[in-house]
Amino acid sequence: MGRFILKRVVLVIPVLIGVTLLTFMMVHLVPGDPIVVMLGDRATAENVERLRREFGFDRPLYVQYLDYVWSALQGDLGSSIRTRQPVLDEVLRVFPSTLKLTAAAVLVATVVGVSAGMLAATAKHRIVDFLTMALVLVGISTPTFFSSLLLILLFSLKLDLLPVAAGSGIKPLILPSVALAAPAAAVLARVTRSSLLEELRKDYVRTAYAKGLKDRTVMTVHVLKNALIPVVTIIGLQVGGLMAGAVIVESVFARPGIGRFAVTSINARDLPAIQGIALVAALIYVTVNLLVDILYGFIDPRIKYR
Amino acid sequence: MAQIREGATATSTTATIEPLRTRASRSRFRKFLGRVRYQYGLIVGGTILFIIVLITIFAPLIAPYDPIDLVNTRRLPPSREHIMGTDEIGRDTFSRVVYGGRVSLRVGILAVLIGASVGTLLGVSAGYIGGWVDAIIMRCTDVLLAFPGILLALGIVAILGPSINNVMIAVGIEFIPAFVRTVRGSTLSVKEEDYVLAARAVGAKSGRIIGRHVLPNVIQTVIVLGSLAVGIAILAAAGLSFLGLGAQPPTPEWGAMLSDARNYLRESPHLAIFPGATIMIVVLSLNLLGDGLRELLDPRMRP
Repeated sequence: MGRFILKRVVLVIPVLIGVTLLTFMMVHLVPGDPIVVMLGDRATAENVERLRREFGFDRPLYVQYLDYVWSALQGDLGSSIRTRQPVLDEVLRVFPSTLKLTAAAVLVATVVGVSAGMLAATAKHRIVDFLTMALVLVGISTPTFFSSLLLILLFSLKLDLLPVAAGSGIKPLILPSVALAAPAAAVLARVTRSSLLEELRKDYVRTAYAKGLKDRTVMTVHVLKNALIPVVTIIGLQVGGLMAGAVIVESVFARPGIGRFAVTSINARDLPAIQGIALVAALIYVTVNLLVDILYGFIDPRIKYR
Repeated sequence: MAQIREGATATSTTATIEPLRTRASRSRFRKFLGRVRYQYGLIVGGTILFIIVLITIFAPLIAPYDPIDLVNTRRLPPSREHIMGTDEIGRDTFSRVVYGGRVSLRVGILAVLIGASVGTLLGVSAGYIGGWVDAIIMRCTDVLLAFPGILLALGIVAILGPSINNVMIAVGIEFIPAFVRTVRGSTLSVKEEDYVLAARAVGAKSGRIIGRHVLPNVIQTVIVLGSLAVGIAILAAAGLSFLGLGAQPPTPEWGAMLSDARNYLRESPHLAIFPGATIMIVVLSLNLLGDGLRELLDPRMRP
């Protein structure tokens, strides 16, 4: 197991180097002079020169890159142009809100998606299966910003059951996490259904039925455990989609969070902030996928020996 | 998104024997049509999409008003005169939805074309040449995949600046990894086929082998992935416009229309419902079409 984990971790290193290279290059890929772009109306010759020195843009590119990585390793992601605060502090300030939203969405998506998939698989080719799969299709095809608005319209404005604005407690979290979870739940339902159907065709299931076990026992004791293995990977992959969806959901529900911070920074052309957010987002995503990969090795021992 | 980004690897291995070719391909086409008959999703999705494409092409004939002109009082509810009502500054919503289709479909299709062409080129190179070319291309793909979902597109828009064309480029780049991975997988398996060996044995050059044998065999996979990707591209582009990073006013665009509508959700929900439902229907029909095509073209799905 130790070697398996080590191998996975080593494989991530080149990706991380690539990620830092790409986020570092972001600033330099901006058409025109990045300093002038960032300063906008305040771009006087004096200001530009001062900021160029402050950012160290007058040094060779490779020195700047090494300096960037070295600072990042020490937790220094530079300062936001808009707020003048260290980017890492800003990110950490809004991160708990995004984490709460994403975690709630993962929970909703997993519970709803896996149960819907099981329901559809056990009712294979009957009306329940058909309806569930139709709902799945709608879930995948509905843009998050539209489902968010519909949820607000129905549950806040018409029925007055749930608040729109962010706040403490569970209630303000319900609508945004449901909106965020919907497409992920749909994908999970699809994967769970097909994985269950595939598993149900296997020999050991026939054996289980042949020795007189009931449907429920076969499902819970034998099939489910094996069928959920691919589902775990998909949950891991969905985290990326959820992080991206959070950008939109946070903006619709006016929740503080990394997504909203990113959009504000882009509109303000705040390049250091964008650079920092991109780096943090990629790091989180790579880490989650690494964890899922390792977890996978634990759930399915066959993986380790491939 | 995950499904698309991971991609699916499928290849068909259709050996071609020259003299029999036309007859064989005709009966193959008939078989293909026979299978299409039972693909209800494909038929329904394809029909809806065809109608929507026609509507956007003939937008000037169908839209009763100019999408940018102020034609009546603000936020009128749907009526005979304005079947989807008027928007927050008095433009005809129906006309804006119709013209908005032009923007969304163009961006969706062109973004996928960017992703598919660059991705196929890189994927075939990686799979066919192998070695360090393969290693470099695949490591770069991994790096792009480290930025989840529309976050990559968001970053690219941040670099290039907000505009609908930049959104198109950004979403296109976001799709490259999916196509690279899928096409590389297909290329690797085609490369091992006997007919490629035979072609090489009779002295065919790499360019000819790629053009005559590899590309025709990976193109089906590209089409399936592409048809599913267009829906995702439309969603991503509309999402970026919703955030104010894509289409700029007064361009009619569905995502931007929804963004404008959210301030009047209580009083005029129709402003959000019409463009939102339109995006949903378009993406739904694209998904039906893509799923149908996958079942039709992916040999693994055949009974």
